[in-house]
Amino acid sequence: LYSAVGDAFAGRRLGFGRRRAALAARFARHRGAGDVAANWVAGALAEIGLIAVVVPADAAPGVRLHLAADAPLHGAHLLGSLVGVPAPAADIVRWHREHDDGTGVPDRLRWDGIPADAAALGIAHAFLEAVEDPQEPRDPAEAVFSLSAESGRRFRIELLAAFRSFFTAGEEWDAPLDLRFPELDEEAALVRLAARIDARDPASEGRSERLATLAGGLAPKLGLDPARAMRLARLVAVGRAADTLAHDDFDPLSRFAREQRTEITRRAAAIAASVPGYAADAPVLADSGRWFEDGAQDPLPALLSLAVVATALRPAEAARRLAAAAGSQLDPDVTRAYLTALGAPT
Amino acid sequence: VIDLPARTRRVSGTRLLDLCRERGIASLVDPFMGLPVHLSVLKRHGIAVHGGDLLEWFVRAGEGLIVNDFTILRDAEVAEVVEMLPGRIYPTDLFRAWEGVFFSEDQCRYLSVWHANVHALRSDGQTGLALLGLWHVLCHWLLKARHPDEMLDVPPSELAWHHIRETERWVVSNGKRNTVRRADVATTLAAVRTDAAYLSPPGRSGAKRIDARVWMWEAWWQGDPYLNVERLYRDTVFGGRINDDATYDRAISEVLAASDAPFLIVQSTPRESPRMERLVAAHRTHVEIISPNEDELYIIGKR
Repeated sequence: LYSAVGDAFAGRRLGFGRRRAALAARFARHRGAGDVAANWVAGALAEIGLIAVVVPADAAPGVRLHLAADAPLHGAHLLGSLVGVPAPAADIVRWHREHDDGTGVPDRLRWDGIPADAAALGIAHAFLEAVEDPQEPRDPAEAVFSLSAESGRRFRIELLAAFRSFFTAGEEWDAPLDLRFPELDEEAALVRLAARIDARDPASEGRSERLATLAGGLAPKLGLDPARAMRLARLVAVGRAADTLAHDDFDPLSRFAREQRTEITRRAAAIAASVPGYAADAPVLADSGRWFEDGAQDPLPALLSLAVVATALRPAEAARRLAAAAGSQLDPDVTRAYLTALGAPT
Repeated sequence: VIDLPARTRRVSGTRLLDLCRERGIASLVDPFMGLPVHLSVLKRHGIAVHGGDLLEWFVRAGEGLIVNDFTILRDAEVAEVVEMLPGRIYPTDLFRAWEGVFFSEDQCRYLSVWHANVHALRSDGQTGLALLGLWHVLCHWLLKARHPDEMLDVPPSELAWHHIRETERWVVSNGKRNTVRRADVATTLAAVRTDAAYLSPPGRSGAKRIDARVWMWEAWWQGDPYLNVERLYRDTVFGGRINDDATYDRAISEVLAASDAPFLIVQSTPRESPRMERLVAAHRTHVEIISPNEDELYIIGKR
């Protein structure tokens, strides 16, 4: 999920991170690198640091450059905070954008001062970027050839030669790899991911936890699994994984809010669908972006719809406006259950 | 073909930044700064930085990246650096001694032209940026001489233009006074008061094993292809003729004693770590060792 969120922030086709991870790990194995698993993790999460990069819309090009230059550093910090991730992965992410000639980011390291694993991930990233270029996708052999232009500049000559030999060795470079990792606490990781996305905008700080608390509290009253409801509430946040997103701190029952919510849940569903462990949540997320008047909803997406609206309304007017929206924008049964729980007239 | 040794010490600005932030360090001095890109990273993140070195081109580069907050080179000014100006007479044989040994005739001519053009720039900031950008060209040429079939041929002026432009993108202000000076360790440490002193001490006989890409650029800046940088270190604490353990320890100890900063951050290696720890412990009460990976080790002493 973290990898898919990184892809979304970088504006890439979903799954790019996982393909990069497989390629980096296979290349590491070809080079005889010590920790193949660390290379895989670093490949998967190389761009997750973008989650902490918030570029103001009117920022000058220099400011944009300096903010973006810190993305690998943020990524390294994030990996360092995840329990169970192989220790070298954080430093591979930190330096994977360094260039051999000392013109990369974030440290402008040069030559063999750049760890080989990080430099190798940089090559794998550039190769895949060329293959999946949305404007001009390249044939893999052509993509390998195009990297030669940066030999000795962006890429270390010896490593690029190793990549060419890896590629010509005929290995299946883009097939998934079966590696074993220690168990991660996925729920805790999702809580932190949602909190980080929320923190990008002061208007949305702490929003996911408010949503999760409301959804988790209301779910048993509707005969739903509270843990799943909370997980879905947090997954809504990944829909806001985009470089720039308009503010949404306006009336949650307005048409503007509807359009934006539909877009966010659609994005969240697409990201969830690209991750095997979350694919089952995708239809619920997509459905939660609708209004009741567009067709009856299942209780779970209806609960999410209500939670999104209820947490965005001012407490003083929440009961009155939710009651008014029941049956048109919101599911009446779910709304009634919520208002009853609040002690408000239904 | 010149030997380009593969033993570059990793001096990471972001790692130092992490160490500084964890300890509330707001200012730092590096008396052996070398190429001050690590100080540039710290500056970009709001830390006041000060540096010193004995090689003038490092200091000039520092004037471009560390001291300079605003000055960049406009297109016309970059053009005046990278190309021969009409009507101007250039001493095109200034670096003829390198011709056929390290560089081609054309490259040597460009080195002479750039030497004259950079020295004619009006501000220290611009000079530093141009000098640093052009150094990348020198590195490119030396690497290409070793791997002629692996690297693209790029016209010299185009390569120079690219690297100068790339360098000046990192000019930034941190709202603080940042300094660099051409001075020995003691002078640099005595000149500024900071929260921390960062030292990445040269190894024994460090002056004799200096990278060709470093001494050649000092020679280029001085306009003397026969320049021997070893003499610059001769009268310093690390310039002694005897390189036994005791002499080296004394030299390090002298540097540590010269700093009155509350924090001492010494970058070392796992092999040298016990010795460095002992030396730091003689000058600071609390000593901790941070080793983020097998190549990096920091000994941090706190008063």
